[in-house]
Amino acid sequence: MSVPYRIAERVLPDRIGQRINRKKKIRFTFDRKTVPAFQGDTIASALLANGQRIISRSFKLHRPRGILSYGSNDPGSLISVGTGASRTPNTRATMTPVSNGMVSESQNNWPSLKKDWSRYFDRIKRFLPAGFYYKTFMKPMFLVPVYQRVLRLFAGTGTLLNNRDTASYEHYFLNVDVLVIGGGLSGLVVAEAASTSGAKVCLVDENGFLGGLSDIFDGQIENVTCLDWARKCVTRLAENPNVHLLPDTTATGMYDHGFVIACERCSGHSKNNDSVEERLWKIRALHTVLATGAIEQPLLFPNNDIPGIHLSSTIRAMIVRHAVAPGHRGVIYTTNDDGYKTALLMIDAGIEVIKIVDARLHAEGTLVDLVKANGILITFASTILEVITDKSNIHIQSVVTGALQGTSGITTKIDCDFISVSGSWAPVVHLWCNNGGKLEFDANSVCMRPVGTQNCMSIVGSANNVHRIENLLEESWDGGHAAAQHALGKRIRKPTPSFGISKSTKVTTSDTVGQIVRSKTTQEKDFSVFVDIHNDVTIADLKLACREGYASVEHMKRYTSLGMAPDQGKTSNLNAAVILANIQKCPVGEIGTTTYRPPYTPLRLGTIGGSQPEFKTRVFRQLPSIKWHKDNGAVLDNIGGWSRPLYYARQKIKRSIAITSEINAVRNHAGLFDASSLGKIEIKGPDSAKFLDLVYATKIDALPVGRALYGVLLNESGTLLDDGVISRLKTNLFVIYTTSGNSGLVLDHLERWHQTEWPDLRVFITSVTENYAHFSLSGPRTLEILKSLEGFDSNKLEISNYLDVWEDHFSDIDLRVLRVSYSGAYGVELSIPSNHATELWQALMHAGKELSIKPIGVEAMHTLRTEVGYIAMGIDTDTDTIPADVGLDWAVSDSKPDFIGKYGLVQDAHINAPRKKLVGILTKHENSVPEYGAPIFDRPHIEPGNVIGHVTSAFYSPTISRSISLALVSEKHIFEGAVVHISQSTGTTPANIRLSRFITKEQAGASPFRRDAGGQ
Amino acid sequence: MLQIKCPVCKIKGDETDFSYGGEAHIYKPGVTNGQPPNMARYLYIRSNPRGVQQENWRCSLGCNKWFTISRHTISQEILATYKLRETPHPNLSGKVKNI
Ligand SMILES: [Zn+2]
Repeated sequence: MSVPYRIAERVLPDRIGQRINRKKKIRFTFDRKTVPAFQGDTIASALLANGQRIISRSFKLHRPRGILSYGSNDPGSLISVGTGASRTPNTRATMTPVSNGMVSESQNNWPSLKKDWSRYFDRIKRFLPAGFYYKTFMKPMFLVPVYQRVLRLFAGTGTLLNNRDTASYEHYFLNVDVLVIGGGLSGLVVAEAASTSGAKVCLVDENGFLGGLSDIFDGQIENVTCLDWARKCVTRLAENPNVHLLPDTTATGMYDHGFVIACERCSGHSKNNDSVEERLWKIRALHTVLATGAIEQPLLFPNNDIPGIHLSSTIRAMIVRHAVAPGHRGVIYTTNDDGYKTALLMIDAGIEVIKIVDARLHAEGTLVDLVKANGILITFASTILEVITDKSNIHIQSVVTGALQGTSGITTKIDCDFISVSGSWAPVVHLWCNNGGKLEFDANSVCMRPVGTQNCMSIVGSANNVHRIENLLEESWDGGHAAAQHALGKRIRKPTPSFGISKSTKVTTSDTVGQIVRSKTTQEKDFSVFVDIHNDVTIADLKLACREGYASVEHMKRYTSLGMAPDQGKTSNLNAAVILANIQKCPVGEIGTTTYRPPYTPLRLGTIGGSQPEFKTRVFRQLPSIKWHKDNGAVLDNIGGWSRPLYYARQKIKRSIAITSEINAVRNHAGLFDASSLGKIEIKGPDSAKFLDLVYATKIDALPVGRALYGVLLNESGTLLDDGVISRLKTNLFVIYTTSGNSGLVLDHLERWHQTEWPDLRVFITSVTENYAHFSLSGPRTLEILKSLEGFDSNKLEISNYLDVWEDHFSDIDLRVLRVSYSGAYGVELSIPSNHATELWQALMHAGKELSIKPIGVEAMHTLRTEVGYIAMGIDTDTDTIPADVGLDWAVSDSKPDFIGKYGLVQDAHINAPRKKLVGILTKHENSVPEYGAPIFDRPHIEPGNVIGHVTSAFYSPTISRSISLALVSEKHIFEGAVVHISQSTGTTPANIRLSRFITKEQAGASPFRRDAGGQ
Repeated sequence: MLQIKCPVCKIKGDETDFSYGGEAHIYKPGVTNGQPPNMARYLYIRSNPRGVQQENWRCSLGCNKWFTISRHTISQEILATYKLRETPHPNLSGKVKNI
């Protein structure tokens, strides 16, 4: 198979093809065609070598896109790599090394890259200006979902994986003194200076090879080429134990206090044995030095987006690194000396240079002389006026050049098959700006350069707009030394460079900064001058944005989508600023830039997620008797961070049957519920009662020892935070119980108020949630069961009152007994140290076996408490609910001088505004159980604005054989029997408001003793 | 990602090791002349400065104590860290309200 654009091995073997190994042949596929390559090629270089110029289609107009740039800033070369579960969409062809058998595919085209149907959008591009979609597809409203579905087919880039990503990812943490970002000449010198000064250094670079662009610049340092000099520097650093080199790692964001996120690409790159796909580094550096270099900018002329147009530096990189010629006959369009370097390299590599089109009025110097000596035609003050292609719009056939100024000019048509363009070099300032760094427009070098200083960060080299190598080396050495001084917090004598940079160092290079030029275009041509090649934003779009009032650079970005998407405007923002300044007739500096936000290059969600396969790292809290529950058919679910039994289905019985039998057991016999997840907090100390009186809205001070009460805890604004039982075991010892999901919240709340507001109160607040198991035994047979429990003194229970609390025993283990019940049936709650939980549970089940005891789950418990109208915090209440809304105003003390929320309760919004109140709901159809959160309407048809409330709890009650619900409903709609309509999957279902209890005390199985008449 | 040092247990950690508790030194009104205080200002109004803000943090994965830091809301610099009821750094005293 012939590889038409691979430069032969005999041509300058020392200089050309430095990264490829011609002995190691590789085959991979692109769009199912086999592509021959060498080890060391990127997908981009291999495709170019084989004459495959088109790599993808653009986002909006589906124009052909090729390789503009060699690196991560390329706007057009997004492809998908791999197959099946290991396919990765939106990979840059320029950044992906080839490997044998690799499968790659183009994106955003149908049916094929070459014959993409959507390319016809391009013919009508004049009618698809910026904002077209916003203006066209908004009316009529009901068609918007249809528009969305259709437009989706044409929009976007790669397609998502249908299956789970099988790759593995991990996170690493690193603390260093000095972090150097960028491993070009400047970064290497910084790292060397900082480590020689005694600092621990890490250097990251997004490429696999360190040395930056030293291979494509011809300068010499100390009589060796820049590349050889850089290689020696890398060798020294690699041997230095104080330096951590991280190639293939992109620093994607700079955050507060020297925190940097960097993404290391592991598999398929230089470290093949790594089992991890990508590794996210979380680096904390005392000082960060940005040596991120600069990006060459493209030039603006009609059809400047055709695949055969490459940045000048890219052409040199393709030749020097991969021995790839972008074509056979090239035209060079330049605004600076960079184009001349490319011309000379092309001549050496045997590629014909047809003409240099130089936008400058004139130029002189060694480079110009060398080019002239080779007999190459140069025209100054000229530009490209038109690019002529074949019918496919993919292959360049010729260019038309002419004078830059004036319209008179003579034009020349030249045959060629590729074009080199070189505008100015824009410093890579993204990370500098992530943290609020300032920029200034530099008119001499036509770029935005960093100005000012930042804490813990500095910027050097071409990223700081210092391009001449002798200046750059010296600045970087000083920068490295200063960074080490700052990081270590002491003065350090500046070390002498291990290489001799001084004024006498022989450095031969020339300035590469140039000027941006905009060729004169007529209005007609504005439609074909592309500023953003990825998003198809033309000069016409920028003019339209300004005309329609989106003149600010931030508005322009949103309106036209310029600078959005994968490349984030790395090759378009600067040109756009110049054009905007031109349109608005103001200095470029006044246009400014859009905000630079992380990430610098796209990050995969898998990489951000890290090593969490199957969420193995997420741990749920376990009940102490969890094994018993599992062994006895419990169906578990995560509720409030705990793994808890929903219901027990031992003989694989149906869910509804299991729940019904559990409810019936409590109402008719006995049920045992594992409530160990309830929050339990011990309040100890002489001021305990005083403290609880300040935090709870309920009056607690007068609670006698051996008694408990129900209390509510409010936020300062008067809304409900939590509720629960407060029991007084001793004068100075209380145990408070919280809702399962709120145990941490309540503990933090009490701690905060104790520490900040009442530190003088002598109180200890201790969470004992995990220390005690807590079982709720309820139902008419409770007393009989406890009579046969070993060591338990049931006489105490027989004479007890509702809300009594006392100590008893199970064999010889201490028990705390509490006469409360959440089910409304007669019952007790038993607390036992967790290590005896299963013993007690089994003993209770055994004691109740003959009396039809059943274990009951969360589902049954919620039905039971709804039947008797007890609320569940956070389910029947939300952050706006005050006690009076849910009938708990009796629990708020009038007599206490102060408590949290006392004055928040009397805000206007709580007193004078209409409120939603908790009511019972009985659906007309007895079997229809509304969904949680279902909206409630005052009329049968659903209309926005008619919502008067929502369902908070809804269950089927086997006790009265019908559905019962609780709901928060706007108070003006509330009266006994009021008809409301509850939203369901189809339309609404009618229901009545019920203000009295759903079931009677007898039905609930409340205490048979007269002294308990007030409670269960 | 802020890096915070707890002034109580002296542990240094990322902001995710701590929890944020809002602006510090908000004056809590009491009952005056038998009239309930107007709580709106205390509950809902915050200064949200462009500059130094005093704010409460809790050493939630450490000693669990509340403390106060002076943070510059633009540069994110932490100018001082102090325990409850300690006076902030003297250079900042002019910028701190309601001490
Ligand atoms: Zn601490």
